[in-house]
Amino acid sequence: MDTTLQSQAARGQDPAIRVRGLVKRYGETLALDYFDLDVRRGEIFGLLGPNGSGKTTAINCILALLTYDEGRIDVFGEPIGPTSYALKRRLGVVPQEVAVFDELTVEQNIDYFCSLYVADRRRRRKLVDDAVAFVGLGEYRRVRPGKLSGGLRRRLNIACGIAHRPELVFFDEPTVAVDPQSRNAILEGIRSLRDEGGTVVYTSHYMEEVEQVCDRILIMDHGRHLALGTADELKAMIDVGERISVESLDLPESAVEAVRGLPAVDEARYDGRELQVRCRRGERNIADVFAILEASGANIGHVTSRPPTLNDVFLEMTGTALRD
Amino acid sequence: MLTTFATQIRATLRQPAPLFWALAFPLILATMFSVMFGSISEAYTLQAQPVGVVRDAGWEDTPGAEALAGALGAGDRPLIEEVRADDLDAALAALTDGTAIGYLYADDDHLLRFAVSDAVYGSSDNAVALTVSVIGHTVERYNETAALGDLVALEHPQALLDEAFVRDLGAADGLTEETRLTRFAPDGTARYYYALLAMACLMCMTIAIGAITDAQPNLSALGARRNVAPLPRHRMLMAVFLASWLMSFACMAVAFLAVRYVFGVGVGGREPMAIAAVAAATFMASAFGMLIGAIPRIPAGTKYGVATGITCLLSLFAGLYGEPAMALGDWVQRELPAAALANPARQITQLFYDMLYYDDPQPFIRTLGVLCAMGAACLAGATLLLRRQRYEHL
Repeated sequence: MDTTLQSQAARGQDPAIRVRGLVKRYGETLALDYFDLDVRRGEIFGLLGPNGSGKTTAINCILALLTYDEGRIDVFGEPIGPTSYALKRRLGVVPQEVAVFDELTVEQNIDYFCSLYVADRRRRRKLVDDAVAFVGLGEYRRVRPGKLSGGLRRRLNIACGIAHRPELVFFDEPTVAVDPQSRNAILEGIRSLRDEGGTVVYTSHYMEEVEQVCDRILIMDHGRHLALGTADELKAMIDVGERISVESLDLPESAVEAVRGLPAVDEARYDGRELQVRCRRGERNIADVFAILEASGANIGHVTSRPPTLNDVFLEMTGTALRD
Repeated sequence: MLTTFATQIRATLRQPAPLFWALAFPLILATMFSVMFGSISEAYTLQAQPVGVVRDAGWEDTPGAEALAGALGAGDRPLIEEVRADDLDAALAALTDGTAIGYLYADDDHLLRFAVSDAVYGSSDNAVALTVSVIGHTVERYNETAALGDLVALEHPQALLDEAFVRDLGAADGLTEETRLTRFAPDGTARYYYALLAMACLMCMTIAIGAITDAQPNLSALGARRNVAPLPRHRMLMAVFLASWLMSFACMAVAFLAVRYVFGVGVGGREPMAIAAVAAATFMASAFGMLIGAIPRIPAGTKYGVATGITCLLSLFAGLYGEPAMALGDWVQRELPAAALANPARQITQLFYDMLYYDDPQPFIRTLGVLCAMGAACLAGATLLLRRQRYEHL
């Protein structure tokens, strides 16, 4: 990809997306409840939420695939509607489901989707070549999608969405059912799109991915905006610190009680095989916990301590784990 | 729009199911019809039969007998293969051992007789029955002419001096006259081929259903993705419809040309009109497919099933399934003309009848108009259905 995206992104100061008070109802179901969103130019913006939280509905409203009941959506400072063709020309979409023609080859698919945005065939040829190289499908150019592995099909799906070099790309769960190698390639590609000046809206169930790749993250549930910030900012919003787990088969109840009595411990649970300790934010207790366990004379196996994750943030804010 | 049109054609060309129904199916069925009707037709042709000719004294004394036997066994289409018999016993022996199915002999009154074996009466071989019947009538006519000649010789002998009178005495010319009310003699088998073409045309609906499914945001992920692009929706749908129509037309044109030139089913020398008929029929079928394809909240597989069911049902009244179906279709045409008018399969077959039987092109143009109006109505219905459809997914 060249640097034209940077110059395109530099135009104007309006955010890439601004959504205000968006309401979308499906009959009695309220899918979006006065939803607000701001996506800055040149960032990878993560949209995090469980199934049915309204992520896809929000994206489809922004893409003018869905009408909405109330609110306003501006893309690059202009309201977007089904006939906003000039705006649509600047957008790219990588849908969750691989949406390509099974009857066409990799190259023909990319060329077709690119042709919906770029009429000039000569220019398109170069764009298709770049897109093929970008997703690493060079040796599969003349292969039909049915003959590709799941990961390679996902890459084709991405190539079809970005071949015309959009300024703003929506990635809807692009790594579902993808092997680790393809997943890393996809995430690397998304980062390079951002580095070239593009703006990316990224939705996923995989919090590690979101944390790894997104500059800012919006957590939503029941069609509402719950929290927004960087991964660290989000983690700072909750009162959850490190999580300690200790493997032990003979831990006495008195030791568990002693751990529960530590001042920064929120919760301690022992199931006969493993002790799990949840601490409050900003406190590190592994030395104190370890001292109690050693004093109890129990045999201690594997010990781990991990900082809070986005899943903890999500759990704290919504009461359910993201993958529930 | 052009790339969408070209891509849709390219994609359809690589889909085995629609191509099977639009191209392979009519060709396979036409081949089956050809084999089936070929056997039936052969069963009703004249075939020379082994017939004994008893050349005894009576035969020798019967004027014209030898000439008649010679005529029956000669020409492009001989009726008998002569089995020589010197007397009646030899002829009967030939009948008994099966070397002859009958024999010709002259009786004591110098009248020719044609006797056949019992086996001929019980035979289900239509060619044998037909040929025996013709031989019997020829012999009968010979006897009538001979009797007439005897009568004239007895009562008006001077008339026999008139050469023209004698020549016309046994002539059959002008006794029967063939009158044809239509441009071409009705061909019973052609109806099946026309009904087959009608059915295949309607099956082309599946091409349009697949195309519209891939183009609508609420019907497929591919459709949703295509609708995000900056191509006006009406142009996308137009390209998809035109591509479906062109593909259907191309397949059906090939099927028609095969029926016309490989299987020899005529359209009254009006082949260009037949191509126009195929264009109108596939237009209607593609529009019908668009209408079915545009129905929301029904899976594509169900729509294919509905289209196939409708096609099979409507083809019943077009007479595809044999004589009873044809009779039913004709009854509907007579008693419920509005129902026949609304049946596209019937109208497509009617187009071919109009070409074959009418001198005047008006009936053809009228039927063409009916099909185009049906297509336009289906397109209007599809447009109404598609107009407000968006991607709806929670």
